[in-house]
Amino acid sequence: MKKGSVAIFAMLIGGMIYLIWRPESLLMFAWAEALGLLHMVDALREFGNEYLPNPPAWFLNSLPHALWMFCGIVLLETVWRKESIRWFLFWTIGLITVSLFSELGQISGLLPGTYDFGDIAGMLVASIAGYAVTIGANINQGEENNENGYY
Amino acid sequence: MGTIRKHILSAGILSALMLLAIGSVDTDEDTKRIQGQAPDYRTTADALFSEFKENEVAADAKYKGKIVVVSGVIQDIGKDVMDQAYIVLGGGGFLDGVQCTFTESQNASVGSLTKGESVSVKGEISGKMGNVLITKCSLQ
Repeated sequence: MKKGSVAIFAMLIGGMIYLIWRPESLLMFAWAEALGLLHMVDALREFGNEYLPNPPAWFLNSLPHALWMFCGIVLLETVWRKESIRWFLFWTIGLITVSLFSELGQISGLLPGTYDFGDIAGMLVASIAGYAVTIGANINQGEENNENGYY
Repeated sequence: MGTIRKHILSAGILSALMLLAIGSVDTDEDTKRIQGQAPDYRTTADALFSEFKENEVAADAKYKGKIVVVSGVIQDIGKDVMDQAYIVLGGGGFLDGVQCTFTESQNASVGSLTKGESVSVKGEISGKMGNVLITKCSLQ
């Protein structure tokens, strides 16, 4: 399966976790209502409640953000593949930094949300996984360094 | 694909992920936080309104931003200009009660209330504008 597909799949799984199990007071449910998609979301939640087991807290709270982080790194690699490792690192480190600061901003109350160390741990693991997948896949393909020094 | 297009695409990916993160913000978090806190004051709607009517400056200093549990008889039930559900406790005339505003998640609870019913409500006092205003309310 192509890396881009894996990234999109990870993003969708993260989104599904939110839509099925998280409370309806989240902003995304208001967006779904505004877009006229609430009936689809309700059907999804009913299915989840009826047929799927109740997941643990880390699965609900930390995994979606970790999956989105993974998705971001892999998608950015597909954009910058064979072009420039510098720009790939620029964008991915930017993504990681913004995500970490948004989590840390919750401690001081600057940003809405509840600080959870599990979220930070999840993001760090996802970042490592993202880099491992992108770099590992390119090594396996036997690609040689191009003139920009990428792979 | 040109480098500029790749930067635009990268910014788009980041924006999409930021949008997902913003969408995961709980709009009811303040209400939940207040529900979990011990109230600073417990009072009746009429007593609270009297304090604000007597000296609004002193009452603001005492109550503004504080968490209270207010009890009283429901005088009015409705939705404000922001489409948020509210009830007015106490009073009986015009703008002489305590208006408690609820977030959307409380709509089902507010919808089951009737005028004349006695209730207790927990929330955060934001001041007086006609009625004394309490926001992020939940029924006790």
